[in-house]
Amino acid sequence: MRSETIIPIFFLSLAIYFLYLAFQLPSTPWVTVGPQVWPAILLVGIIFSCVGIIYSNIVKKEYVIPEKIDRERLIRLIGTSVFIFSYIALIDIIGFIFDTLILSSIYLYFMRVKLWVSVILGILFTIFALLLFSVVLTALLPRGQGIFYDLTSYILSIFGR
Amino acid sequence: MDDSIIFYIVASLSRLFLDPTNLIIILIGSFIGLLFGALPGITSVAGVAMLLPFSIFMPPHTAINFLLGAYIGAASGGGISAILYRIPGSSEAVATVFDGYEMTKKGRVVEALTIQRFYSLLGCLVAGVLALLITQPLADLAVKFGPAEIFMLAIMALVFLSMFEGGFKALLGVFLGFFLATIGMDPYTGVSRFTFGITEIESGLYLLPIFLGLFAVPEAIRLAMNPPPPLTTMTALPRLTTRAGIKLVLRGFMFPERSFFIRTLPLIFLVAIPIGFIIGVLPAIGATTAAIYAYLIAKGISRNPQKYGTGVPEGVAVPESANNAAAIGTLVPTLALGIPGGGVTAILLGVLIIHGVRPGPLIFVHNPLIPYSILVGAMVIAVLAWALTPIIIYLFVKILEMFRKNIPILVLFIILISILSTYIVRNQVIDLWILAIFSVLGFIFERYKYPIAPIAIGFVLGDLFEVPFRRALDISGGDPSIFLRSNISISLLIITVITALIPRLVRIWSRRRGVR
Repeated sequence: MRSETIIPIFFLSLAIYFLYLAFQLPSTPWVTVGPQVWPAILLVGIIFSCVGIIYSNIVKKEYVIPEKIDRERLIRLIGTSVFIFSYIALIDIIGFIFDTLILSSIYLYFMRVKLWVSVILGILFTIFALLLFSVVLTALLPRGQGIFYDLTSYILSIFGR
Repeated sequence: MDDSIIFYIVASLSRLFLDPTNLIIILIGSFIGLLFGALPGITSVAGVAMLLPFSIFMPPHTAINFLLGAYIGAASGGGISAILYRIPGSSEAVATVFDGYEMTKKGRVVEALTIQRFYSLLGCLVAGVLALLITQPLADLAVKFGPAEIFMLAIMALVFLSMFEGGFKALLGVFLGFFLATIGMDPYTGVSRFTFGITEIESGLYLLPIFLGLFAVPEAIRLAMNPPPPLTTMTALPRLTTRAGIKLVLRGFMFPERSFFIRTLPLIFLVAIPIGFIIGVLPAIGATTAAIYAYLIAKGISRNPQKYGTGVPEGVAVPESANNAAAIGTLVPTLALGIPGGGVTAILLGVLIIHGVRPGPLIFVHNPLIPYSILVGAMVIAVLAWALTPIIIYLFVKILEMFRKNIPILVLFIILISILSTYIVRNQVIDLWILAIFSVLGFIFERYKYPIAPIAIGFVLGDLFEVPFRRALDISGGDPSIFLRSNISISLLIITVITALIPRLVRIWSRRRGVR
């Protein structure tokens, strides 16, 4: 089985599961078309499309052979993904200032930028994010929990926020 | 021209020129768009998606003009790298590569860039006038649409998407987009659907994390994985410090030779711009298809089709005027019907929705100045992009090298802007996880050549089509024949079938003419 075929199989399974969920929705006798009908039609559409893709992949042998990812690029892909997920996971815990400062520096160092340059750029990115979002756009960003909350609030208070 | 149209055009122009902030924002948008368009590796949709969060803090017409500046700038700028480096900066410029780069190889780079610039502008301006003339009448016609007719429009968009964007894969995308829009509270009965008890998504999935996740973050990941290779600097242009260089910036890149302009008038005004505009107006097709079709047809009707692809100036003029005409054309269904013509217009539509403006027939009743401001703004942007390009071309090589050498910084910038701007809109961490999930989906889809724009289009159209579908069936007591009872529904069906047949006919005709 080609790796591409996993995608339609995944969506096919998901569509079947959601189709089951659609029919579990409460009935609404006061309307002709209940809340489950439209999603059910769409899910049948997804199933139909997935079957079409699988047929093209397996029977008609029409599939995309993706570009090979060598070790170097795989490391960069994993590193960038880890950065994104850990940034999101930590933002509510350590607050956006420390999250940006620490993870930006680590990410840049990981991407082979010199250590001192990475740290300086991390600081610059943090100041940029702080000025743009908190000062110019006056938006609320996560301040974190515990000591991080106090520290972030203190830094923001310097900027009048 | 109707007096009211003239009034709104004048009002839009006054609003644009009397408020310097508007003009500055448009200038910034056009400049960034030109850069994004010219930079290989960042598509025009990704560029517009990255700017989307900033537009939320602007008034609706300014926000749209800002993003439109980026879009039209990108559509124009994409041709620059296509001509200089054989790498289309944006997909719209894919047909420009064929002859544009060949002209560069022959030392005719200034001529190629001048033609690219001028015909981009011409395409935008002519299509802009056409759009001003037809958008309101189309909206007036659409006001007569009942729920059944609106639903037929959805079917039309669905057929076009699957035809032009990649068959079953596009169909999967559009169904997925439609389905994502059903998550949350049912607008008709108030029943909660597929929320798994998560209260933050009771009001539905938010548009911003989905768009940034699909378009912007995967682009950053790809850039991190595949930094662009070093590019040879162009030597064909005179140095900026020389007299010839200054003359070129001040007077060059502006107008093509008069004899060429006159010779190509019929080709541009009867073939390229009409094809581009019509394809743009048809829901869910877009500028890339327009450029390729116009190029193929121009090649097909040429007396010397074999010369196309060897560096003929017409091979640059035709796709550039067609793709820019289509870029403007896509605004017509977006504004008049509320159906986006492609990924970028789906984003523009989303921005208007975020600002509480629902494009569609009633926009001309409730907010008539907004559609006119957008169309007039688009034409002003085209002129600005044209005027800015000489500077961009000279800056281009340096900026490109600067970006290339600092890819990790660019990647970090895109990711941080995407994450933080997603958060600031609703202050909910769940939106960040949605962003992460759609980033993975966008990356995988792109890798296996699944078109992404259909998901965005389906998502913004979801609500618009579910309610009419259910209302139509409610009216008919559940009888589905209501969808084919009116003349409008039948006409829409006929247009869909005819348009579905055109690509096959063009293919057969091209084959007979020996055009590949």
